[in-house]
Amino acid sequence: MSWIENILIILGISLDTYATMEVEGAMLAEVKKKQLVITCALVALLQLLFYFGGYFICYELDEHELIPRSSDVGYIVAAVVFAMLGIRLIVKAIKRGIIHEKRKDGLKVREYIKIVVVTSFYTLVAGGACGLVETSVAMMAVVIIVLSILAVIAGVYTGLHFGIETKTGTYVMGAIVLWIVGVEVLLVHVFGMIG
Amino acid sequence: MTIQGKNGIDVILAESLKELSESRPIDKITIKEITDKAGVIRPTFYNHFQDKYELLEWIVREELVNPALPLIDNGLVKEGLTFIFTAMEKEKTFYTRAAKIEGQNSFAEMIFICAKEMILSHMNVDEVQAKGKYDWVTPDLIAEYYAKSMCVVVMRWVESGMKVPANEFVDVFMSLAKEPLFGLF
Repeated sequence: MSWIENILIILGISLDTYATMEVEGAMLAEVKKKQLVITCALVALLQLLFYFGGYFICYELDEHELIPRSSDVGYIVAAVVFAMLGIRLIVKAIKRGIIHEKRKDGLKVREYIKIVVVTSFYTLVAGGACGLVETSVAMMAVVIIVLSILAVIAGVYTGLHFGIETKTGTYVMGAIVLWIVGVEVLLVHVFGMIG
Repeated sequence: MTIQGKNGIDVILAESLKELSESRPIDKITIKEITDKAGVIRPTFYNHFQDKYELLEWIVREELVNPALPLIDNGLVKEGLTFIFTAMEKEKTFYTRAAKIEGQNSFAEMIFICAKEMILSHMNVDEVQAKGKYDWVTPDLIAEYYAKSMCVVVMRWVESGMKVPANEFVDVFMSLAKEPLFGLF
């Protein structure tokens, strides 16, 4: 996949993290830097673990020729990941449950970790897809770390200053981007209709 | 401003919530909207209140309960209640919206807690305990009993849109509070 497609798949996954952190930030009177650093590190680490877990599993399967037409399978899986993530974001946007804005003492790991782990399963599948196509491991590691940290920081500070009002728009925007890229991956890499 | 404020920001936030409640349910009002209207940044809210329900409770205590306490403390119970219900009547839209809040942060719960505290603080605890036949009938239990019944009447009045004028409601309230149950039979 191209570098832009790689970035966009991680960006799409990171939007879920962003929205989760936005809710956490909306409950804070101030952001404690130490807690923020821990959160950034934890989220980045989880994303790296799941991504490279999926990557190396599928890489090994491909090396042992256990997956026929692995490249096509990889692109199809990537497109499916884009589609499923987009659907997940739209469902969350539609659900829009009332969130009770109530002050919390700080960023507590147990409050956000469950949602981040669920998102990481999509990262696992994305990693698997990337393991079947030509993807730079080093580049993806950097992209994951940078986007995870940005998602956490942006989410927390957006929530702190603006509350949770941008959540729905973020979900919808994220879903649209993911679907566009998913279709593009299918058209370019699977059906060879473009480029 | 209608509130005898002790803290300027608290008052501004309270006024902001009351203005916003003119046009939408309190449950749907966000902290950002409250702080935007008040002209302060969002994190400021959490330096004063835990959530908007704590702000609502602050309004109830500052606007209704605390100003009436000196009257009730000096035996002017009817005058104190008249003050409370007249103040509620003046802010009819706000308190009618507040009455629609359900769950653990409900307006009914706030009224109940305030009523119970008022009863307990004015109860002759020693006398009540001396008269009591059973140890488990504590002043707390008695205060809860009366506060619950007061709460029902007040909520019925508010939920009906305060159609009955405050003065008339106070008369009815006082007579209900004084009349023993078995006197009705």
